[in-house]
Amino acid sequence: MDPSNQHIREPEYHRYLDNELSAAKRQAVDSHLSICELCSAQLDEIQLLFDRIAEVEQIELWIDLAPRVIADILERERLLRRLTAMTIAQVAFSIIVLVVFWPFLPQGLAQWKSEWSSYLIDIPMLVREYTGSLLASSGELAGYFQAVEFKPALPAFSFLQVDVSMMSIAALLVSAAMLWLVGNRVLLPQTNLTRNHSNGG
Amino acid sequence: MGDIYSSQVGGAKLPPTQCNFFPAPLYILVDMMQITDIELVQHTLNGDIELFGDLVQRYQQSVFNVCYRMLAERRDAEDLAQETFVRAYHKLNSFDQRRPFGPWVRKIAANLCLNHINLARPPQVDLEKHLEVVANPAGSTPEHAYLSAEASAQVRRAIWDLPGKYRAVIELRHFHNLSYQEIAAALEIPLSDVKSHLFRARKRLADDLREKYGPIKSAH
Repeated sequence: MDPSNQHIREPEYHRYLDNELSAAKRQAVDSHLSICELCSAQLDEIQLLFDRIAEVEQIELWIDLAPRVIADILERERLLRRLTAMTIAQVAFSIIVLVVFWPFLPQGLAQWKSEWSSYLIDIPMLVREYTGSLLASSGELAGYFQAVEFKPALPAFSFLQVDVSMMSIAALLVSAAMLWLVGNRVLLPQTNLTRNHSNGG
Repeated sequence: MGDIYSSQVGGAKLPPTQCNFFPAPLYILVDMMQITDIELVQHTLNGDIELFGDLVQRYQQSVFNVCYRMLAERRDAEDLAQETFVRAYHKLNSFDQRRPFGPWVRKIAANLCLNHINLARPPQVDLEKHLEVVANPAGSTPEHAYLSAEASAQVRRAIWDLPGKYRAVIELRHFHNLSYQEIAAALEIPLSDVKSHLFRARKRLADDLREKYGPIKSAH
């Protein structure tokens, strides 16, 4: 910066007062200020703002936060211990239930599958028939689709083909999740998980 | 510009010979005023949570003021000051014991308040009510004290009118005396943003003060 004819840019006043300019730049600003009344006046004005901010007084705190903070910390630690204990209890209970019922599951699921398979609808076949009948009524187009053997298949139903053991794993996971949810539904309302529990309202 | 909170850092510990007559807990009671912040932190980390209360008492005024300047609501400021100390307690393991406790906890407060401002809707500030009781009134006469309090209130109101990100940089630069680099690290924003936020915030502050109260002049 040429100290004689170039005024200081406004952001530089701020960095100058914040002591955030490099030594070389600071020296350049100093030399310009020594000869430029306009820049000196502007700098003084910004300095006044800084002074006004620095003069802001502290507001009195009317309460002692220490007992509230200690109570809050202790309460949160107590809740954390309780939640940890509950989580461990839930996991243990779920495992016990699964271990006890494990031998009965494959048999039960096999029975369930044989009973319900007669009620299951073969959707791919229905789709084929439905589209086929639709297309049949549209003349040549129907012939075309039948010629290319349009056979839509829904992959979602492929799970019926898997082993019962896989099915039982899925059922086990579902039952574990159900146990988890039921456990939460029963146990969580007993814990007062409100944020302002120690604020005294 | 000095750190306005520097006078509140704890004093020096008594020599060991003066407290060998007492068992440890009694020594702590007798020597509470002399025990340093770092010793209180160490006692807290060793499981003596009650001593954390002494740290709270040492810094609650300044932390509350950080929150009050940023939030404009006394009740919110009290709640956030409380939350600040709870967070500080849980982060105490990461506190660098070579550094002073005060700036560390006030930085937590400023960040917490900024998050609060970003999440909450803007406060409905009743500007006429905000001539608060100051902790250590300046001035020898009641009239001087009143004028000083009014001048502080004017600046506070102007700060409250700023967006949260501007309030945060003003707080950290002017009341915590942090460098640009430290502000950037504390708020996790680029250095260029710190410079531009500070510049714009001060410009808006100056314009606001001039518009409402005339040319800016020192309160004292």
